[in-house]
Amino acid sequence: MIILIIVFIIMLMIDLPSVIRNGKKKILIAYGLIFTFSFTICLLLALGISIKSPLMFVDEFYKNILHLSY
Amino acid sequence: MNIEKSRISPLQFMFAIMCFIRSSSLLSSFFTPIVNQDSWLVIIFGMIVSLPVLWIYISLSKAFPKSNLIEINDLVFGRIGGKIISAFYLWFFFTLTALNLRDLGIFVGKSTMSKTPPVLIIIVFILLCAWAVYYGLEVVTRYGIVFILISSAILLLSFLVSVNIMHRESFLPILNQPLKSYIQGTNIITMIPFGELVVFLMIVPYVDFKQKKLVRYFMGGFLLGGLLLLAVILRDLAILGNTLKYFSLPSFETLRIIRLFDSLGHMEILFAILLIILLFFKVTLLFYISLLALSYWLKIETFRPFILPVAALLVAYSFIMFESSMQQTAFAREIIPFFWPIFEMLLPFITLIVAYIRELPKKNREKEKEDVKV
Repeated sequence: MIILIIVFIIMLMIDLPSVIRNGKKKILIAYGLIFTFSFTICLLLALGISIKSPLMFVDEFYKNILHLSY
Repeated sequence: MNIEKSRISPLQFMFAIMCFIRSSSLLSSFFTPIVNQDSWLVIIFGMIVSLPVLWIYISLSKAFPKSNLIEINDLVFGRIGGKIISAFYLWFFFTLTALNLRDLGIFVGKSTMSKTPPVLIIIVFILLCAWAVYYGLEVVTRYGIVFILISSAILLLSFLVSVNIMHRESFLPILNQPLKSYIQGTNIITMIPFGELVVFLMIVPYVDFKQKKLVRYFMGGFLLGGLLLLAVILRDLAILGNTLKYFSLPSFETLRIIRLFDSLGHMEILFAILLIILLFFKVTLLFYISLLALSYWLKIETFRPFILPVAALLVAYSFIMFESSMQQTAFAREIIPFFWPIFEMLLPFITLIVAYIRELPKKNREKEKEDVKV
């Protein structure tokens, strides 16, 4: 997990200066949201917490509700 | 808003399509156990069925020559409707990228680097893809021609050195399977490599060609790519025969049993190198398209700051999407034939119909004519 945090800090150090230099608030907000989302998912995965795949929701929806599968 | 400044040549575009289809030869195990010795027929059926689908893509590109898929959705469905439809596409592009990334990790782990953890392979690979994506579309598609030449040369070589172990009987009996198997097989092959060409709607506006030539290059890439895929299946089938259905990587097994003279064997390493090259191309292109779609969806002028966080997300997504390879294969065989058509057929078709009803292509053309006059 420490490696993961270090990797994300390095990513911030690479990207953030150019995002701030760009000066546009919209890019900064979008970057912040994508970065946080990405970090959260990776952290959950590193902690061993199981995350349900969206494709499995699709699988269940098609098989159990639509009854549409080969 | 124009995020991508560079332009690619029509030939680069055509070879990109060929490379995209050719790299799907890894996935032949999705349909080979269903149709057995008639796998090659299913590819031909799939190519025929895909023609109307390609017609939808070409018609959309012709109607909106200067807009990519996300912009087309905004124009046709309005701001909010367009955003909702585009969000589905965005998820589809990300899923395709993560799926191919996962395929590569599993393949390399199985074939060449069995003691290396898949996560390490995937991280190194996505970093290389991110590097290419950073420099834009021109760099992403530049080596398509080289990759296709290398893959065709290896394919030809494998044909030449394996003629003595090919059996004509491997193709017999023809058309002896239940009808349902042909429908399912055709459905899979139509959806998995051919229908995925919908992603090219994102890059058509950046290709330097006249409208009339669009059909030639789009179709040319599709037909040549399809024929290469057909050649691969014919070779595997001729050599492996009925045992084809038992392998998760038939081409790998085919090249493993080819021996030239007594000393030259283990040609499967050629296949492994080739497939890694082709998947590098496919993942890079899909990664680029996902980022381009994301920045158009957010209406942000650049995608470069998002490369690394999105790459990390893709690595995580490729791990959580399926618990095992068996689950992935079952999903590809049973659900994808019904689920992918939403993105590959239904939504593009609805877009085309709504654009036609709203007379949008006509308005677009009039606007273009006015622009030319001015």
